[in-house]
Amino acid sequence: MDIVIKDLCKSYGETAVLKQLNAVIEKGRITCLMGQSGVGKTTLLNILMGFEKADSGAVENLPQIKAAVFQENRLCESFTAFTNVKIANDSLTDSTITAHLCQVGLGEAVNQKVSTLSGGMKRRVALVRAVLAEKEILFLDEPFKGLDEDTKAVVTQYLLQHTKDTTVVMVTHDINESQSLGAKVLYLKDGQITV
Amino acid sequence: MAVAAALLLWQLASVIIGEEVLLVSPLKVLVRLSHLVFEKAFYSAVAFSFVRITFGFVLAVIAGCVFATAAYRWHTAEVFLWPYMSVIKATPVASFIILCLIWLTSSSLPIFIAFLMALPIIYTNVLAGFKSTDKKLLQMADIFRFSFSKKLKYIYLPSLKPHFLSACSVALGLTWKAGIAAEIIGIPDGSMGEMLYNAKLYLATADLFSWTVTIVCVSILFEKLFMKLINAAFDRLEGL
Repeated sequence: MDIVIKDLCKSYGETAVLKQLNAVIEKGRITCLMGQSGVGKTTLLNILMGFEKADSGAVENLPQIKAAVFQENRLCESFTAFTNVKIANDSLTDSTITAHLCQVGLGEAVNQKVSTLSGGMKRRVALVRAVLAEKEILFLDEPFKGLDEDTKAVVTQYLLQHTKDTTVVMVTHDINESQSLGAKVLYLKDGQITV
Repeated sequence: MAVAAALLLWQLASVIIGEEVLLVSPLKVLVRLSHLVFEKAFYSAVAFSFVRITFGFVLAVIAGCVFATAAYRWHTAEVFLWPYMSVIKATPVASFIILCLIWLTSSSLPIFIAFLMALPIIYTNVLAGFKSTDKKLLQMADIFRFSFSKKLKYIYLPSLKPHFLSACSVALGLTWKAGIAAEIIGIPDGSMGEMLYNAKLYLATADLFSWTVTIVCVSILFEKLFMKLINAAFDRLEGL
């Protein structure tokens, strides 16, 4: 079933960020939340992920089994790239994890400690972790942040291949990113969805 | 080089003072120590103090970690523990030693004193380690439905590691100082503290220095060994 967001309100002190926001997130599709900085995209994502509570309103049919790529990578820095993926889903075989890491260009980094990887490499580890985790919904908060154009293309292909029929909610500033993923776009402006 | 310079300075000072009771020369200490190491009583005294002080320290590590975990988990526990930890930290060690002599036998005194000295250091640092755990990593763990053991291994332990290691390093030095002080006041038979006390009683300055050198060496060796073991344990956990 589609996720239905009804009359969602959220304020921080006197500042109202979400003002009776209504939206539908289609099941099995990629939905992009777009809008200017500070418009409330991450706030909405945090509410959907369960990190923040809305002041009022409701989110219906929200799946409970979630996976996410956060704005910061949130990896266990003293462990390897392999371990970081494995801990999100114990049922994965070693070969599956290695194959996925190779697919995003991390073949050489499988057994390297995350603390030794570059920002772009860490981002890809976070992506593979989220893609391989058991989930009914996938949240992506600026998943291409810090990636060069070539790597972006590789990661886009990877996401398209492995998120078929998965409900994905993605925050981005870049219209090209949403178009390359064939996503439905929801624009946030003045605390509401405008399109 | 620095050690050699310090020894030379010591030798010079003892020559200038010219009174062995006041300041014995390092050479004399070395000679006395070389005699002591062939005595059975030397090893039994080292073993006596080592076992008791180490036991007190290990107990403090276990209790400190348990209390810190409880304090992190339940705020009431932190509030409840606060006055105890504050009093232990602020009370002079001599007061504890004299007070505990009334309650305990002199041979168990170094265990309790070593425990008391190490406990608040371990507790405070481990609790600080828990509190400094990255909240965003904990959110990530919730999203990916980490079990408690996974959170402990992959999030809490790496956060606790530097705090725990520095706490152990500080506490180890302190437990040896306080443990030996307890032995000097309690004078348990066959302890290093008793040997030091006797050296003072008979103005045997060479003995006093020899035992002091022994205590410093045993304390440093144990600290190095213990820290290596703890580091290896953390590395093993991270590698699993």
